[in-house]
Amino acid sequence: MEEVVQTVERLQQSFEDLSVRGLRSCGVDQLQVLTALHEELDRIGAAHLAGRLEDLIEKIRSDDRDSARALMRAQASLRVFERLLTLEQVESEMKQLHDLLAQSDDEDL
Amino acid sequence: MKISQVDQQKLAPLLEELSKAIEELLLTGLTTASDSTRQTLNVSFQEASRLGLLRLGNTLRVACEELTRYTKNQEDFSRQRFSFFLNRSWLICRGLAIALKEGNDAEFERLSWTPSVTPVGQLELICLGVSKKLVPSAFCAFDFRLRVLSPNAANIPVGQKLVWSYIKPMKADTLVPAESFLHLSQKQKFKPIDFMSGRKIVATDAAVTVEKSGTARLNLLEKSTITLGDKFVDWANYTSSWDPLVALHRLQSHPPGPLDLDIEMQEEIVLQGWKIDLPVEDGKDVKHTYPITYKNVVFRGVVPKGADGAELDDTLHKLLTAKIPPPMFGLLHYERCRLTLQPLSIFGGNGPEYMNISDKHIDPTVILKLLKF
Repeated sequence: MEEVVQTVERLQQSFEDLSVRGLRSCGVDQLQVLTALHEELDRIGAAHLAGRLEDLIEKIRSDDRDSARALMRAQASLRVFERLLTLEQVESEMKQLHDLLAQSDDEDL
Repeated sequence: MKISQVDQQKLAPLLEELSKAIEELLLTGLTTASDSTRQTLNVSFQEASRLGLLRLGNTLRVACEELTRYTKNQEDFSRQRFSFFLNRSWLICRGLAIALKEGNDAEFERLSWTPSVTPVGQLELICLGVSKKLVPSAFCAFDFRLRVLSPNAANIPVGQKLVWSYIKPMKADTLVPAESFLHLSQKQKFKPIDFMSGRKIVATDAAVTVEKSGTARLNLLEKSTITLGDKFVDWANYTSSWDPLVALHRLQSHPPGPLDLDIEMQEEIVLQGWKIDLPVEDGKDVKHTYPITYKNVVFRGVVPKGADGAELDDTLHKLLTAKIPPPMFGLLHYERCRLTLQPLSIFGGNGPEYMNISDKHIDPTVILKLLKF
């Protein structure tokens, strides 16, 4: 899980960099980072997000004006992916907490 | 708000122009953003608010504030905040434009959602905790976490959680502690610091709004008044241990979406029998976090950077040596797969000790200076 969270954080930082510096100034190094993240997303099975990122990479490479829309869509997908992951993870921790509290209540009786 | 309630002739081109301006900004980047792009964003924010699209207006406002911070080379510019709110603005804008084009009232209403306002005659309240947010050269904000104490004409249930927000702008040369603003008299004949007196608070002729997240807010109007009642002694009623079951049910029934904020599912909680460990470095957005363990589950006790977190950091540091830590009231939210806790108060024998607020004496001349400000 820690590895997936790190991938999410790195992708988020890349998107923030692109928003601040501008898509037209995206260089070879930054494209390499995005490509590596795309491969990582593919590997962990985040197919929808990987597809959105692939679209963004292609549009940046071809200097397409629609790269801005592609960035917004990829960012929205990343947000949903992060929320799904977070809510799933904390749900299991909350279940654990609820069970522990119920157990200590039983012991108190 | 329904489609028939807006001026469609004005709204359609506004949304089109706004999404184009955001896309142009993303193509060029902030350094070379043209004046016309900045101007379009600022005008759109005002126009969206004027047309009653408060959700879009508020989101754009934050993005514009960050853009201004970047332009002025202010060190508190946040890439994360800018990027998040720009994306949120684009999504709302595109969503509204599509809903408008398709005549989809339900979707338009969802995206332009504004809270309903309920007038309340009289409410008796207490304050359990206070958070502080300080953005240098911009504003300081305090959120007071309240509980309704007694039945009222508006049928707001006893025990209802309410938030009252107090926000004051701060100029770059304002060098006074944020707590000074709590001593300023308000139109409703009270000082915000009164909320922290440990006494009952009586709000008259106020209003309550319930947000999409379920958070209920107290709105003080021009005609509202605040008076203080007796000393409140029954704190134990509000410091019994928290049951995570309700939070768990909320988690299970919430469908995540791209417009969700990290604090969307925020919970007010009370921990008893907790343990605290030495702080750890935990990313660039916070000073550090204290691992707070409750029944073998670890929460990140976040301490904000800068003056925001100084008081909280001191209090948490002192609690490292406490043999039996007192009950702690705080806000729990879910961020990057972790349980994140914002501690607000601890409860000793005399009611709450507000962990984020300095109890240092405020020099009256400082308050006078603020009154001139």
